[in-house]
Amino acid sequence: MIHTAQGMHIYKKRHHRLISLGVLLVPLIMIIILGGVTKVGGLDILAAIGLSLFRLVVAYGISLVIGIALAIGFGGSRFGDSVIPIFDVLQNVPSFALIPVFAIFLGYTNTMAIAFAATSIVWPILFYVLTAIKTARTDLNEASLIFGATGWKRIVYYYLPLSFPAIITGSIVGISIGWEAVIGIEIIGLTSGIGVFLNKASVNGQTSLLSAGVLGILLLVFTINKAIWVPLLHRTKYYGE
Amino acid sequence: MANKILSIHNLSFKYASEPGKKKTEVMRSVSFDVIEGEFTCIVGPSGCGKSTLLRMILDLLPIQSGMVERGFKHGSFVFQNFALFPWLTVHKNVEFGLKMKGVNEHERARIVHEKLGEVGLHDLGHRYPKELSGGQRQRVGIARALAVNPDILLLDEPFSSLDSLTAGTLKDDILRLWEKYKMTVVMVTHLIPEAVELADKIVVLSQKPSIVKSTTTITLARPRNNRSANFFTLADSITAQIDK
Repeated sequence: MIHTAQGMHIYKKRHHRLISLGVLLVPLIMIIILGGVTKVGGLDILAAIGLSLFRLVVAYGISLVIGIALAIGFGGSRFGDSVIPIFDVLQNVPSFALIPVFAIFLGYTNTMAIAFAATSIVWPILFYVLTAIKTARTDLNEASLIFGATGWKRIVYYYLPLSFPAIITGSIVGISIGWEAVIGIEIIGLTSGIGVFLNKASVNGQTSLLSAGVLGILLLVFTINKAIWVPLLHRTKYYGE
Repeated sequence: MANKILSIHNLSFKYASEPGKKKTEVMRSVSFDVIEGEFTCIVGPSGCGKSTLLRMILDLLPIQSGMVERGFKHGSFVFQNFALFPWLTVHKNVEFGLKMKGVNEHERARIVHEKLGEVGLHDLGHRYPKELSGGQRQRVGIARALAVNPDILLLDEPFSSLDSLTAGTLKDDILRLWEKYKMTVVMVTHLIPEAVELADKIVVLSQKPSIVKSTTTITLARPRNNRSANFFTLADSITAQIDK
């Protein structure tokens, strides 16, 4: 609980709360108004965004687990240095070039969109965490061993807190790449989601609808940033020397 | 007859700065014994493998040649640069080893309170390491090491990151705790007067590749007067052994 309390401390300032509330409310009102003007309805926009967000969150969850597991597995072993060049080559394969491969195995489905996004999000998490573990102070590693952090305890009480700032930074970068992947795959091959919504609005020349959709994404990104990443980033200051 | 708690037999160590590079011989056939309850100091010039030796005693580094005979169950360590976990408060740092051992929360709180009191930090448990001075951090390091109730305490140049005033009071604290707990202490230092002030026995290592130049038993009465003629004579004779 102490983590949350320290993380949310920044919202105790009144002017910060008011600005945050204003930035949230103004786009929301505009979405509802624009939705009404375009006869699409604000709720339809929010539903489209919600579906894309669902895909992103699931993909992020998968990436987080895989990225951290690989980073701890290789970062904590003597093979760590050998696998970094391999991961580097893999992460440089343009993700959009893999869309046809995903389509063959999974079709243009919800699962495919999630899998495709996960392959984009995993890299920054993996690299940031791997670097944090590889460059950690030797004496901290020794202290963890001397005082009994072995086996699963080593993961929970040493590797995870050690790499917490890297997990947060990697997640922020990964999520931004993930948005591109989700919206991109929705535009290319899916039939639902905010990507499809924006694409249709563009093709039909419905600029009000397009604006409402973009505003909706901005609103969501801002909310996620303020509610999740800013407090977590604030928390990372306790992880430095 | 005094019990040996640790025996080092012909320990040698070679080290390469990077895999594949030529290895440097750091230590050559180092042997000595540590008696239970004794305060042993290992002195020697920088780079002669003193810290490496401590790490081999606790199995943090592989033994390439020779043998370490351990007659202790729980070894603990105080680091030169404190090595406190920056993400944990002082209380949680001291508690760390107990938590890993599965000690229940109530007992952990009692022990942490006791150890922090012993190092004079009972009211700083809620702080983070970065909010403490160097001396306070090292006190947390000592409290953390004592919390696990070790039968041998290894100290790796524990005063070298501190100013002389802080180092002086911390030395007194370590001596007080050593006498209270009657535990075995092995401390590494490159400062010979520090070793003469604290130790029952001083193991003198040479330049790299280090060998044991001598093992000297210090018979000066405690508390030791580090301004006395005897003190300086002893410190000078040990310095001369390293310089030979």
